[in-house]
Amino acid sequence: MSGHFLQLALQNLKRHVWLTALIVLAISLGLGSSMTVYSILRAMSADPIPWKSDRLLTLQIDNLGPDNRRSGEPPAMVAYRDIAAWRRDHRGIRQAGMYEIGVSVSTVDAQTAPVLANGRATHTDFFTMFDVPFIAGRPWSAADDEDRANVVVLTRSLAARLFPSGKATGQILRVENKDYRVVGVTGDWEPSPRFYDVGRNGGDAYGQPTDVFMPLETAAWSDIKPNGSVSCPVYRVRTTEEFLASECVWAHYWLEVASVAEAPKIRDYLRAYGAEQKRSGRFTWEPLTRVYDVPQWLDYMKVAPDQLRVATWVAIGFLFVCLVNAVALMLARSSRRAAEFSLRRALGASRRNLFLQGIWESLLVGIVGGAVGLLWTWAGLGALRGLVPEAIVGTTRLQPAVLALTIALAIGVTVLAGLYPAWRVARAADALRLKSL
Amino acid sequence: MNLVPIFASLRRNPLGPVLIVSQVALTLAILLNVAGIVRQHVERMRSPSGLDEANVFSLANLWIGQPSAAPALVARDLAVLRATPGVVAAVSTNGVPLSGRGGWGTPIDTKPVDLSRQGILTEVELYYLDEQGADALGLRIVQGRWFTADEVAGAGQVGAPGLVVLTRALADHLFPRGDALGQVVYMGARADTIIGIVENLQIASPGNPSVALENTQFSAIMGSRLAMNAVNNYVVRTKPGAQQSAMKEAERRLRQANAQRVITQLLPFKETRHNSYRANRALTAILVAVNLLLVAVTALGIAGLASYWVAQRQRMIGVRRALGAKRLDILSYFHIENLLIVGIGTLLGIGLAFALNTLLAKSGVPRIEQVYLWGGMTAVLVIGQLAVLSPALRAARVSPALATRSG
Repeated sequence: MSGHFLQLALQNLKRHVWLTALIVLAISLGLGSSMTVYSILRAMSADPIPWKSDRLLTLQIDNLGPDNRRSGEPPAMVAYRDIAAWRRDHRGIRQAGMYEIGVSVSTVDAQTAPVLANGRATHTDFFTMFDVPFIAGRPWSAADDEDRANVVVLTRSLAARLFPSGKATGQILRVENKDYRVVGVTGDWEPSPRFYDVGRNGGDAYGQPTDVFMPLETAAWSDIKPNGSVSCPVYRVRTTEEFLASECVWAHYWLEVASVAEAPKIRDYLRAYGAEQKRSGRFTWEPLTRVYDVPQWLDYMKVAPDQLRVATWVAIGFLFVCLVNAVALMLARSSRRAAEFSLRRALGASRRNLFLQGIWESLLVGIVGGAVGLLWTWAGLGALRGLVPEAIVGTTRLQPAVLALTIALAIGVTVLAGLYPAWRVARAADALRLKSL
Repeated sequence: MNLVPIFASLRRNPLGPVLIVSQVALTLAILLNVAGIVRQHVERMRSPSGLDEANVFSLANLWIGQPSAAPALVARDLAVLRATPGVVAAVSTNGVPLSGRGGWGTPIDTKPVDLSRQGILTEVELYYLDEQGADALGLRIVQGRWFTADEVAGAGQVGAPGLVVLTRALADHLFPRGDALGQVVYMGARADTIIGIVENLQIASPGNPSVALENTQFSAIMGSRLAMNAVNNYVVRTKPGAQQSAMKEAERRLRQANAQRVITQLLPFKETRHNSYRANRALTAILVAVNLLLVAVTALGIAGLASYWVAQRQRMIGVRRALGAKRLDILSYFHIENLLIVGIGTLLGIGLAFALNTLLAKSGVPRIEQVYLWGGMTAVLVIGQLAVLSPALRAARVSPALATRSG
């Protein structure tokens, strides 16, 4: 029976080819533009580490004072002294301070020109906390952290660039003016957005991937400065000791809790910590404290700009207009065929069959509209590739989920749009209309 | 023209008109809200950086091995750059406008820092430049003067004590009476006298829509010979037409003077500007494209439905023609019908637009301006009339003989 409906539907689409083309055009354009914008929004606001994003927490404290609050909130970054204190208190199952560095890297034989590497100074828990895969070697040890050992972990691409002919682990690498031992090589790992780097001024959710990791204690005490802003309450800080003991904020702190239920305890802990710091005379003000998990943090940092969200709503509004349009045009098409339906009624077709016939036709329009809509999406993303910031070009691919959503929406939307016209046809068609033939 | 038959026919078959009304209303509501966003971005992309954009290039220089003699190395680099043919002036700085590099922010006030004034202080971006700074960036000094060589703090020190140059926007913001020159401003523990005011100098990331456009000019300059032992930014202004050759030659000479460096981001300022506004351009392109399509689809929808109505009412038209209606009467019938339907849609659309505007105000959608209101209304009405023109003309050609057909 459905074969018969399909055949009839095809015939009818062919007979009203212009009107059908108009409907397909409207639906596909609506789908194409909303899916294009949605693809980008989706990529920009995706959960980068969904399996534990609610167990990873970042901490903020108002150590610069009420004067340096941003819209009444504490600074996004934290001071080294707080990171040291929080690590000592050890409230999560894993914890790491971290900051971004830019360092020159070369092999000791100086065969190649030094390259500027994007680095991350952190503690060893970083790798286990963020589930960084290793293809060779392993993270440095906790003892390496405490001993400020000269060790590094390379990412696959930098390892391949520096040691094209052999394995990198165990090799010696010159970073700035000191020699470091390579203890491990990470596999491909780059969460998008890079949630752990967005709070930095000049930080970039889609920035340059990291090339090299080194212990935070090593970097900080060798005076390797953060690659980004440092906010200080006083201007002159002379020595490394002074800098690290100061209230200057320039790093981040993340910890992992065993279960979501632990998160409120961390909030309580941080509040108590702030109160204690005030009591000890470090602050003259009541320090604000904040604890965010990954989704809250991305939202607070406005990683996906609000206006992109607005653009998505605009595109969805457009899709809705296209839908209304399709309903109007389908209605027009079916009314043009009132006589044909009457004839079929007179020849014994049931109302149910006429209704099904209408639905089949919408289904067909939906499939064609969805296919054309995919083409528009693909073209739209291609056109945007030259326009978006370089770092998010990678997100402008047509993702499988978006592909599936487009097809599902196309069919759902057209069938929905076809319901009323089909119902009206089925209701209205009676033999009397034959008179107008 | 008698409106009664139009109303009668609309009442008898209300679904089509209702669909068009809702389509027009939605279209107008979206258009009016998007217009403001697009305008904001275009204004931002056109806002002046304050630099002599055609003749400035910049680069980021990273010293290898954190040399302790960075001040001497930077001084030598500047001498090399300044001696390069075609170069007018060169300077070392902590940040480059529009490049994203910089962002050394600090709160500023006209009184010593007061902890109780939380959240209301103005955030400014600091630039550290030496006596050639104004010349190297091509800044226009509108009041007062620039730093002299003696006033610029020596190597290793950050900012000469006591003196500061502000942008006009910042000076006017802090001293609304326009008497900023010679007054004192406070940043952290510092107190500085304003010795000069430059026309414009934008911050490092002016494309960020969460920073108000006026605030992208909130910069303060301190006299300093900046020499970091890691990354320094060099900004160089060349004679007109000499940029390309000077860029190449400067890079070669720098490498020759000292190979222990990594040079990145060597770019003419025009490219820096282009890169700075990529996200704004992308968003603008998306919005404009979607809205053009929106208008096109709405117009097509009106035309499609109108031609269907014409086909449906062939006999009625024939009868009217046979009873003496002129072609113009038929034509105007369809146009007035369209005007009525689209007009209702426009009115509803304006209401919807303001409702949406209130709803989206938090997400950075600017308030609807009156110009857009009139412009949008007129545009939608005109587009409606144009969309119905071809079906209406077809209707006007219907022969009176059709009235004789039975049915």
